[in-house]
Amino acid sequence: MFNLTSKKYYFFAASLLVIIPGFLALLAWGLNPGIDFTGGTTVDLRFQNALTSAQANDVGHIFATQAHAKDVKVYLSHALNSGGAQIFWVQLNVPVDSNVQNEILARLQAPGDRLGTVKALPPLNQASLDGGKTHFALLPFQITPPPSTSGGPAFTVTAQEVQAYITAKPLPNTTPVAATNSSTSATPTGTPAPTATPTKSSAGASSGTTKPATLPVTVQKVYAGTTDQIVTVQTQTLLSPQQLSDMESTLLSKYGVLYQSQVQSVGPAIASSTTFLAIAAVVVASLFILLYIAYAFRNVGSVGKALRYGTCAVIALLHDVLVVLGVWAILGHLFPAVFKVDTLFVTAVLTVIGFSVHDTIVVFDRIRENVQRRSSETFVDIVNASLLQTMARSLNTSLTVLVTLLALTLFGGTSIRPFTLALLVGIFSGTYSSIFNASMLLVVWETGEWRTWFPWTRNKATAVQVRGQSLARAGAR
Amino acid sequence: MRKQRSSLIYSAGILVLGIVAALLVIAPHNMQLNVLGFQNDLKLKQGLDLQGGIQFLLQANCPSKNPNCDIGSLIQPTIDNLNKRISGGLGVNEATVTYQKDQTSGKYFISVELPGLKDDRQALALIGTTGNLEIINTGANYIPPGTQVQEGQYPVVFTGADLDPNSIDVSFDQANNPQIDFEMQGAAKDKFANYTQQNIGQYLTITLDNVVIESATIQSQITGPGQITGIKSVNDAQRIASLMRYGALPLPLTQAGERQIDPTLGAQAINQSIVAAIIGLGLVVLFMLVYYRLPGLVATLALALYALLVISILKLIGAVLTLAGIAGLILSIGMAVDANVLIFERIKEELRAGRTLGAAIDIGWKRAWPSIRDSNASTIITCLILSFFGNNFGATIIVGFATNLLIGVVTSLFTAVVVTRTLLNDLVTLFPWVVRYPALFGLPKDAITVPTYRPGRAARGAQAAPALAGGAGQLALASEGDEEE
Repeated sequence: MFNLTSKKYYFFAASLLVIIPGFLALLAWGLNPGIDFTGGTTVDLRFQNALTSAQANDVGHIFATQAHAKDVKVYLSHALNSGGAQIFWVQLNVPVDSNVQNEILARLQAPGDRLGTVKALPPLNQASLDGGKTHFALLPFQITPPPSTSGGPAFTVTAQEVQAYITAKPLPNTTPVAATNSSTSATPTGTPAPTATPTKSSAGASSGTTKPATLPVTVQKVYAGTTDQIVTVQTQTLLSPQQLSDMESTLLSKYGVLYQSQVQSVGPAIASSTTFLAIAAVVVASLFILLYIAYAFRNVGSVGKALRYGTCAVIALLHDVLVVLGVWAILGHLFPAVFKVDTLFVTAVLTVIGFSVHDTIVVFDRIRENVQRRSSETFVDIVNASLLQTMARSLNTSLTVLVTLLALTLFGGTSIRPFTLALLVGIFSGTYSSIFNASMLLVVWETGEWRTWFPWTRNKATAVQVRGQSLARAGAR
Repeated sequence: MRKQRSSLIYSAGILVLGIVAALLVIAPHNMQLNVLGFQNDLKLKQGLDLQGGIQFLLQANCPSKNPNCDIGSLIQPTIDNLNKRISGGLGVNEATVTYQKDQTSGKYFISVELPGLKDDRQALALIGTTGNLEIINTGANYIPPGTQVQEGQYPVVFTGADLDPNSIDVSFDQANNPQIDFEMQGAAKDKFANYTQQNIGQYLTITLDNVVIESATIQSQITGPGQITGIKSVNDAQRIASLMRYGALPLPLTQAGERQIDPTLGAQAINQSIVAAIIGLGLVVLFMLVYYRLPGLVATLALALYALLVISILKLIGAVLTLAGIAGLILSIGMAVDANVLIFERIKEELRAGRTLGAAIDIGWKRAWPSIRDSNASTIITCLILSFFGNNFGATIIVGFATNLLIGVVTSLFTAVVVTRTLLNDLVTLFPWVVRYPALFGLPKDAITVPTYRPGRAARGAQAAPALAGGAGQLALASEGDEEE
């Protein structure tokens, strides 16, 4: 017969081997909060054509690699009740001043109901397709046909019509507009290469002084949007206007014309009060569990003894929470892009708490039963026998959960992998702690062996130690 | 005999339950069912991560009374209030409410994401309304409902803050018209009594965001609860009651956009997860069959019923299934397996100790019960506390997880206590010859004791079963108090 109880200090040591580094990592590095906790930036992108989800993921990837954006998530959505609004992009040969922009808007608004309501959208005035050597303007407009009596949009507008309205007469010249790259160099992360652009020669003089409008402006092309799809990129990083315009150029060359319909900083989805509430809920739940176990185990002797069972179960629970948090602190430091604390992680920790207590109680229950049935044996022997009796059940139950989780981790795709991994770590720890920690703590407490841990009670301790050793030998027979 | 009959009655009940659950699971999505007064479309609602939903973008403005307010500090209280309105008033879990600040204009927006694909006007009406309730003194003037009154046109005598949130409820008068019950709280109680006493015969007018909802003469002094009458529909009454209960939004909102969002996890991730879950559950079933043999088959049947029941309950109560909720369900499947494993391990022990099959099932179950009870009770306690905290403070992610886990645990308790036990009893009753094949239980040859007083006749179920059941009864009495008989 295996003697598990005699090896208890190895089991404690194994737990500490995980918990101590994890705890230190928690203190030193803390957890790696995700966007759910910190908030960040969201950018809504409108492209000419709808992106597939793979392309959308690639957009997220571009944000992560080029703008060094952290915790990037991409969502796809569709505008509702937009009243049949269409998007058009007007591509001009050079970056243009506000005078030209207003002129184009005015020419589109002039036809009134024949074109509908026209609104200027955030322009890409420094668009470039050759890595910043030459720049041109891309001005998006939203055209909403007047509401028709039949409910749907009254009519649709083609790119040719839009171009015809703009180029009905020649466009006015523009003052040279400087590339913004060189002036805003205060971006700490992205270091855009200082580009010697042809237009830069006039950059020095562009600060407010009126310059003659010398550059001729021509319409190169008009693009008609074909989708109401909105690609939302969400990141924890606060992106600077410079980074955002760099992104525009990269995406322009890869996925065609686009504009950033909305750039907003977002607040955390999980308010800090929610985190606090979750912790408070766990503390209160632990107290209630302690009381319930003390009540359920009231017939093991005294109230004090019953409370020991509850306390050991709660210690095992804390053990499992610390293991998961500690492992996450270490992993979050090593792989900050992957191991975030987000909504799902909070759920995983709550799940682990549920499992941990469940598992511990089953083992304790066997001890309780054996204490009553085998009153002649020592407590150490009873615990040992109970552990061996419940071992098959403990392993079988945990294995079924672990196998399901392992399957989810291996085959469930990357987006849920951190979540299932957290559960995997927690459930494994929960199984381990109920067999090798909770019950062993109960033994240490029940036999009074813990006194030997503290030298100032040495006098009493030696006696206890002798007794503990003889008990251990008895168990080893 | 009684035991055998009750076992068969249980079996019939379980069969009926299984069929009903299966029908609910395969019921078409557009079916309408009236359950306890609630219209139920029997659709398994999925969260934003699995199914997507509708996003309302609302711009937050300063109230007209205080145009230079600090929006930044009032935005979080507004979100908290919206969360309460959504989970309490709409009964929607798993909504996401965040604020956004436009980087160029500095304007604040609140994004409300509701799971499900319905373009819900009613949800918007509840979310977007400021909900500023005022009771104004209009003297001898009757103001018809729907009239817009000017700010400061009439003296405001009470506001929504004077109402006791717990007293607000929708009820019906004799003519079955909806009305809203309310009561004042704190100092406003006496003030209201005094005011109504001094103004008998005058009109008391109630406005919501400066639109009159009722104007009525004060008949007598109102000391206790009052009613708001004259509301057109039950839906309106419920909406206004929710607004009154959770109070006015600190910041008025105007709609700035509306969009339909795709599942945040992406179709590929969801498909992968489903495949993975099927692989995982398949392995669990395989393990149960290989390790526990015949009882494993019983457990698989019990687990299948468990799955049908959980999905039916989720459909009936309209719970929202998210990835986090699925985690709760996986955990509860683990607990359902655990209960079965506990019972089977005990039965094996009892069989090894030389008990007959019927006795072993009976005692094994009784021995396993305290473990099952206590471990599940602790999980139920955790669920209740989590959902209490989540509900009272508007933390919907906690509520969703706790609800699913609670449904799962209670159902797993039911399948373990009633279903597995009944099926095992049926096994002995209907197929008594199984005792001759210990391998079916994962035990060595001759490990199962055949009742000695009926040698060789165990194959005749009708005669053997009562003997087995009788034996079980005696042994059970010897070991512990028998709860069932």
